[in-house]
Amino acid sequence: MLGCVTQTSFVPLRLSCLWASAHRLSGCWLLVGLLSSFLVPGMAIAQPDVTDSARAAPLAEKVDGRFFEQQVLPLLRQRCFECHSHQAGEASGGLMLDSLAAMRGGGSRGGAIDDDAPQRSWLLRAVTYDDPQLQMPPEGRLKDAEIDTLRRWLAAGAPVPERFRGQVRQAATEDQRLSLADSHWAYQPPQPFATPTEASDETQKRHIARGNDLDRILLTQLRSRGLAYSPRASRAVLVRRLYYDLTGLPPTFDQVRTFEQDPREDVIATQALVDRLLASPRFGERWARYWMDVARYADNKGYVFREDREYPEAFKYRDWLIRAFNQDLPYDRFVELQLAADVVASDTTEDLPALGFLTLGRRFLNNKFDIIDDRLDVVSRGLMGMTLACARCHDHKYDPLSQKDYYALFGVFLNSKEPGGDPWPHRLQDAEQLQDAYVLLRGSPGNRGPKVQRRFVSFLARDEPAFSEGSGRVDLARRIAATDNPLTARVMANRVWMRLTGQSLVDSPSDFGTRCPAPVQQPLLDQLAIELMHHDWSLKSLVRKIVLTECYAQDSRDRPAAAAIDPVNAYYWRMNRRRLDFEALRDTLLATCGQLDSQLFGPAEKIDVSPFPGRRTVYAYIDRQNLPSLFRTFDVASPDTHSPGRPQTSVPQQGLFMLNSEFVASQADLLAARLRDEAARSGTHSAIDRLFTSVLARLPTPQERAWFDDFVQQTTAARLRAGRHAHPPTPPLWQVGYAAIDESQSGIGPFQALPKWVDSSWRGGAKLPDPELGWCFLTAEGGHPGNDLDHAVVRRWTAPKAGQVVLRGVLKHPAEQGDGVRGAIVVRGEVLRRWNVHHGQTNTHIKSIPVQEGDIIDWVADCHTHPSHDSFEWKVQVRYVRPAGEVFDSAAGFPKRPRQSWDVWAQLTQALLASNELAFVD
Amino acid sequence: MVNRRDMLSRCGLGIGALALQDLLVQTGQVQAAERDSGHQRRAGVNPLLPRAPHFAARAKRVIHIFANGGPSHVDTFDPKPALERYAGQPMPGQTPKTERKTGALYPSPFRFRRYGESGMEISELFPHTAQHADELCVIRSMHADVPNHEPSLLLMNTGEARQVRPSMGAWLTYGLGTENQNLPAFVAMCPGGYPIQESQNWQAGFLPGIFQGTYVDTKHVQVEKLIEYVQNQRMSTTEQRRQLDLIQRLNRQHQAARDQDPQLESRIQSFELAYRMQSTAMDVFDVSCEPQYVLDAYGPGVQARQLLMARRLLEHGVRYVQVWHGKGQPWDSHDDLEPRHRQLAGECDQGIGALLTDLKQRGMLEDTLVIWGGEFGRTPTVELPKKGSNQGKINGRDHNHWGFTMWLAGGGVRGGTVHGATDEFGFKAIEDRMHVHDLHATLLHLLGFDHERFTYRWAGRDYRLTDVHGRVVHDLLA
Repeated sequence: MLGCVTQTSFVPLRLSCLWASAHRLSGCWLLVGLLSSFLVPGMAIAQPDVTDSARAAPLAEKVDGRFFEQQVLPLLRQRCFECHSHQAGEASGGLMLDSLAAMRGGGSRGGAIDDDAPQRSWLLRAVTYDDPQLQMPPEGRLKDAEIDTLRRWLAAGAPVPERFRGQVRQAATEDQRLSLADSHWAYQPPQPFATPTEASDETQKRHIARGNDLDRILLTQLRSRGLAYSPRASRAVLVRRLYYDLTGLPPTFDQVRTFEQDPREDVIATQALVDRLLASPRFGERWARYWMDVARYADNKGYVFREDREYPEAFKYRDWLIRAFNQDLPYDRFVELQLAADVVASDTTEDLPALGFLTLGRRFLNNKFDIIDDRLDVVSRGLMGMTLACARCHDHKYDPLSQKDYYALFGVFLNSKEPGGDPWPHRLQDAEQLQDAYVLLRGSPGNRGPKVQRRFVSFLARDEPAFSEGSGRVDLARRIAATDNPLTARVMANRVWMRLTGQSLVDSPSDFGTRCPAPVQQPLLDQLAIELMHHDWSLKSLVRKIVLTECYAQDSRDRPAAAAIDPVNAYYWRMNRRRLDFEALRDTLLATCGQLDSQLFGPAEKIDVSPFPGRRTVYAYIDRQNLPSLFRTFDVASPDTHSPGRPQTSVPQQGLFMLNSEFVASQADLLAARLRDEAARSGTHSAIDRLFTSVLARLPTPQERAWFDDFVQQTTAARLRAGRHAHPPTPPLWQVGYAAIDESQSGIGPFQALPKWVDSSWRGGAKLPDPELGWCFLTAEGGHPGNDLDHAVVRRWTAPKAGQVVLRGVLKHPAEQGDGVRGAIVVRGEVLRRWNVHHGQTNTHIKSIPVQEGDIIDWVADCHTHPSHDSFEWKVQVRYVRPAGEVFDSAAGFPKRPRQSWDVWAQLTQALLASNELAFVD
Repeated sequence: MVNRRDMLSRCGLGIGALALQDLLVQTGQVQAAERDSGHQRRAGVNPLLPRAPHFAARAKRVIHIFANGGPSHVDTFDPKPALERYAGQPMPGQTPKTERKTGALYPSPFRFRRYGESGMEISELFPHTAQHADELCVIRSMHADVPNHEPSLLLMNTGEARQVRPSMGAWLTYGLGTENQNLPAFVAMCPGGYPIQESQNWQAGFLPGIFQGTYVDTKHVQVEKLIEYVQNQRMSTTEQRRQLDLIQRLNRQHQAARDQDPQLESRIQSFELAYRMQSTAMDVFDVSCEPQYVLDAYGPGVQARQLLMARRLLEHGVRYVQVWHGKGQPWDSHDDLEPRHRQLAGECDQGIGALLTDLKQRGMLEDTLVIWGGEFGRTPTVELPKKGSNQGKINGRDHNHWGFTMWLAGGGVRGGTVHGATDEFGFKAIEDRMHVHDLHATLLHLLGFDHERFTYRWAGRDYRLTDVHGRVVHDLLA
C-alpha cells in the first residue's frame, strides 16, 4: 500500500515563463519571442501564400523552392496547419510548421528538422508512424507517396522560397544581447562619485564633518529634492540600534548607561562602540544568519521519500559562516571558498564546509537537473543578482542571458560530484572524467541541443576562453569575485545596506537584470561597491563605514514636510523604524530573561519544542520540508530557495505566540522568580525598576511605575477577594495524581496530585522524565505510568451524590515493545479488578455498584515490571443508574489548567516582552 | 442586505479591525508585496485583509475534499459497462504505461445507479453524495502528467510537479485576503498526520509565509490541541484582558511619542485580533456545540467531524479549507480494492452528503466552491502481483493519470452535468479533455481571477498558478 519510488524521469519539465499567451500564438517563439520587447519592427514571420498551390506537379522534378510550394506546402496546409500554424492560432506541442525557422526551432521535442541527418528529422519520424510515442497527424497516417514527398524534400536540405524562410536570428540575437548588456546600468562598472559642490550650509558641513563621504552623496541627493537629514538620534536610541544591527542582541541597562555617559563627543564615542561590537563574536552570529537566507540554508533535504532526510553536518557550514564573518574573511575569498573550497582552500578540513553554500539545497527527489538548477540559482541570484534560472528552457526573455550561458555553467556543476564521507560529507569534488553539457531544448533532458563548453556568462566574458581548471568551479568563483564584475560587489553592498537600514537601494535585491531600473541612489550604491572592493573586500569595513554615517545616526521619527516630498524615504531623510526579525526577537527574550546560552557553534537544536534550549536562534534546526509554523508566522526566510529578503508582517498569530506560548511564559517565569525576590527584599518599586531595566534597558517613567504598581495591587486584591468569598472547597469531581501500589494491602498508597500543567497534560515538571516523578503524566485521554510501582498514575473520581453507578472504559496499550501496563479500579481504597494490557486493549467495565456521596473511585495504571513503551489510553465514564441519567466522562471532566493564577510578576514580565517598545528598533 | 454569514464575520472581525482596515487603506498600505520580497517599505501591515479579485466572483470560499492516494473513477463516478463485457480479457490496443504492470480488464465490483433529474450514474459507494447529483458537475476527462503520487499531488495543489510553487490556497489568500481575521485564512485538515509530500501540499512557496495553510490534525478532539497557542494555560480570560490592557497602554504611550506610526498601530491591532481569535477559534473549531441532529446527519467518525468543522470554518469567513482523508495515501488501493474502497467511501460519504445539504440549507452552497477528487484515478486493468508492492494479490488497480474524475459543486458550477469522457474502458480521457491546469484556470475564474493576470513577481519572473498553461472551461459554469 505504500507508495512507490518516483521515477522522476517521467516528469517533464514544464516551461515556466510569463508570456504565456505569446507562447501559444507566436509559434517559433524560441527564436522570435526572444527579446521581442525590443524587436518589434520586422517581427512578422513570412506568411506563406497558399492560395494557388494546389496544382498537380510532375514527378521526379528538381527538389527546390518550387517543389516545396507545389508539393510540400499543400500537404502541410491540409494535414498539419490545423494544429501547427499561426493561421489556426495553434501550436500543439509548442510546434509551428508555417515557416522554416519555426520548423527548425521546433516544439517540445526540439527541432522538427534535423539538418545533419534529414532522415532522422522528427517531422519525418512522426508521419511514418514508426515511433509509437509520436504518430502524426493523429487522425491517420499519410499516404506513402506523401511521406515520400516529405522525405525527398528533407533529403534535399529542405529548400523553401524566401517568403517561407521565417526569421532565423541567432546571430542578430547575440548582437542584441551584447548591446543590451552595454546599455543597462547594472552591467557597467560602478562609477566613483564625482566630488559635489561644497556643502551649501553650516548644517550640511557639520554632517559631512561628523559622518563620511557617503553622507556627501546622500546630502547631495537630499538637497536636490529640497530635503535635509533629521536630527541625530539620542544616544539611547543609537546604542540600541547598533547593538541589534551588529550583534542581533539588545544592550543591557549598564551598556546603555555606559554609552550615554561616555564623556567623549558623539563621533568618538560611537566609533569606539562600533569597533567593540564589530569585534564581538556575536557579530558573526548575526550576519551569518543573514547569509543563510541568501544560501537557502536548512538542516535537511526536503522531501526524499524513504531516504534519510538529514544533512547531518550541515551545521558546520553555518559555523564556517559565523567564523568567516567574525574573522572578516574578504568577500572575494568568501565567495571563492563557497564555490571551490576543495581546490582553493589552504586548510581544506577547516574550509571544506564552505561548500555547503552549493550542496545544502533541496533534493527534488534527487533529480540531477533540478539540483543543479537550484545551485545555479543560488549562485547567480545570490551572488550576482542574475536570474540565470530563467534561461533553463529558452533564452532569457529580458536579460542578455542565453540558454547556452545556462548550460555552460550547468556543465560546471555537472562535473562536480558529492563524494560523501570524510572529512565532510556535503563537500564537492571535480569529476575525473570531465564532460561538457548539452543545451537541453525546452529544458527537457531527452531533448539535446548542441554541446557547450564550460565558461562564464558570455556578456560578462566576451572573447574569453572556456574554463580550463577541472570542473571550472574555481574559474567561476574567480570570475564572480573579480573586481571587473560589475554585479558582485554591488549586489553584496546592497544587501549590507539593506540589513543596516531596513531598505534596499534597488527594488529587487536579487534581480539586477534589465527590468530592475537604476536606483535613485545609484551613486551611493556604486560608492558602496567601490568601498567594498577597495578595502580588500572587507565586510566589516563596509558595515563600519555605513553605521558611522550621519545618515545612519538620524532619528527615526516622521517629519510630515519631508514625507510629503518623499513618502517612501528613498532619500533617507530619516532612519527607518524596524520590527525585530524572528531571530532578534527570540534572542532578546532569552537575553533579557537570563536564559541566553552564549556558546558559539555546534549542532542545531529544535527550538519549538519543550524543553526550550537557550541557544541563539541562528543555531535553530531548520526543517526544510516542514518548517514549523512559528518560523513562517514571523517571516523567517523559506529555506526552499534563495531568499532575497524577508517580508515584515504583523499578524495575530504572532500575538498568539507572544501571549500564549509556553516559550514566552517560561522566559517570563525565569525573570519573575528574580523579581519576586527583589520585591520581597526591597519592595514593589524596586522590582518594577528591575523589570524595566532587565527587559527594556531603561528605568520606568513615574507614570509607568504607577501603572505597574496598580497592576500588582489590583491583582493581589482580586485574589484576596476571591479567597474571602470562596465557598468552602468541595472536592473536584475528577483529579489526577500518582500513588504507590501497595501489593500486600491490595490497594494504593496516599494520593498526590500531579503538580505541573504542561502541553495539555499533568506531570512532574516541564521536562520528561521528571527527576522526581519520572515519566508520570496524564492527559484527558490517557497517559504514562511512572518508572516504578511507587509511581502509578491515578485518575480519581469523587461521587457527588449517593446512588448506584456503572463504570465503563477501554484500556489501550498500543506499543508492541515493552511489557505493557497494568490497570486497576480501586473503589474506596480497595482494588476491585485488575487488567494487564500489552499491545492491545481491554474493556474495563464494572457492573452496577453502590456509592455514597464523597466515595472515591480510582483508575490506577502502573508500569508492570518496567516503564518503557508504556503510553496508554484509558477514557472512562461513570453513569448513575439510580437515580438514572447523569454521566461523568473523564475526558470532558479532565482538570484542564491550574486553578492558581499565574504569578503577577510573570504577567508583568510577559507584558513588557510583548510590548511594541521591545519589538521595534527606532 | 446583510445575511447571516456577513453578520457573523463582521461581528467576528470587530470594530478594531474595521477601523484598522480604514486606516491602512487611507494611508495606502493595503498592497501585497508585488516585488521581490526584499522590498520592505510597506512593512508591518496585515496582508490578510480582504481584497477584491479581478472581476465579480461566483464563489467566495473553497472546500477541497482531497481523496488522497487516487480514488478509482471506474468504481465511483465513471461507469464502464464494457469492463463487464471484456472482463478478464486484455485491453484491446496498447495498454498505456502506468506506474506498475497491469493485466486484464477488471470490472467494477460496485453497482451504479442513476440519480436525480439529471440521471447521473454514481456507484453504490457514494449513496449520500449521490442524493446531490443535480448539484454536481462531474468532470470525467481529467488528466495529469505522470502516474506517481508525489509529482501529481504537487501538480494538483501547486500547478507544478517538482519545483517550489505556492499552493492554490496560498494563491487565493494572497489574492483575496480573508473575511475573518480571528481565524486562519487557509486551513489544511488531515487526521493523524500528513499526506505524502507533507506540508508542501499547502505551502506558500515564494509567497510570504503567512499565506501558507495552517495545518490542523483533526484526530484531536480537544480544541486547544487543534491550533497552536490558541489558549493561555496560565491565566483566566479576565486576567489576560487586564494584562493586554496594560500592554496596550504601554504601546499607546510608545506610539504617541512616534507620530502614530502605522506599523506600530498594525501591531497593536494584531494583538487585539489575537485576543479575539482565542475565543473565536475555540468556538468555531468546537463541533460539539452543534445540535444533535446536525451531528447525526454528518454521522460518526473523524471524516464527519472534520467535514463539519470545515463547514463551521467556512461559515465564519475562512477562505479555503482543504480536507484530506488521512495520513499517507489512504485511497491508494493497489490491492483489496473492493473492501478498501468500500471502507474509505463509507467513512466519508455520509459526511460529504451532509455537508452539501448543510451548505444548501444555510444558503452557502451558491457561493461556496466544493471540490472533490484525488491526485489521479486508477486503471481499469487489474494490477499484477509484484513482491513488496501489493502483497501478491490480484484485486487492485494501479495509478492512472491518463484519465480520472473529479467533481465540483456550488459556487457558479453547472450542477447535474457530466463533462468529458474517458475511452470505452476508462483508461484515457478522450472527450473534452481537461488538464489539471485547466481545472485551476476554471477554479480561479469562478473565484474572480483571470488566471493569466493573477501573477506574483519573484526571481525575475511573473509567476502564475497555471504557469504558461490552462484554459477556462466555460462548459462547467452555470
